[in-house]
Amino acid sequence: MGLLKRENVQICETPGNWRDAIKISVLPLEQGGYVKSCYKEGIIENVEKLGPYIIIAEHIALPHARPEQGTIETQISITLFRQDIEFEGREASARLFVALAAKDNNSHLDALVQISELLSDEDTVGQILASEDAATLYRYFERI
Amino acid sequence: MIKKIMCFCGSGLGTSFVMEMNVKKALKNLGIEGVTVDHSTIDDVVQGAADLFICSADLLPNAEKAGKAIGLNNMVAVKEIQEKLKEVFEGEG
Repeated sequence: MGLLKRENVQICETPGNWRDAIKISVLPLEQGGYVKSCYKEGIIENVEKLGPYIIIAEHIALPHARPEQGTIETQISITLFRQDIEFEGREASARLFVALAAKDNNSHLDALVQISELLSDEDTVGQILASEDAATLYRYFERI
Repeated sequence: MIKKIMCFCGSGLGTSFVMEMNVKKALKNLGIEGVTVDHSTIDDVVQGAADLFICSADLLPNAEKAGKAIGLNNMVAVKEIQEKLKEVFEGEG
């Protein structure tokens, strides 16, 4: 469906805090012109206000904000850090960041169905987290 | 009687949708029919908006103010959702 491009899949050095992790995970979307630079701040504000609801499972975060918080086009980027990053407010941490920009309430839903199915299998998640390089990581998600 | 379930997160389009999808799967596995499930933002969480609210564990206190609620640690694990739903529906008798 073309919501994930190879160049938007990356493996990065683990940053010191969750705010930087969100900024790094949104950067490909920003550089590709899919979101405005304020989008990452929107995600951070939401989490500061409401807690880390973007963590959808152990090790996995789905950073996203409302379309009006700076989305230009619907698109996804995937960032894997080597270590888990702690969030405040809940005993929760994540190293796989699936950053989502949705320009409306519907255009991203098919992709989320596939991502959720892929990540509901613990063995698959283990393999994804062990990806040696970005090309390997991309292969798990390329049908999205 | 639980007839309407609202899954919600802070923005109403990511986490909440993932929950909706897996809540529907869990209901099907439990053989529970006739329940509508949708997803929304925290702003729609008010008393009477649904018979059961489902959200991430950190938003549970907000949900409990509006009614019966379940907080999840893992939104992609149908098993966790199924166990928690079973408890609530059995409690309903």
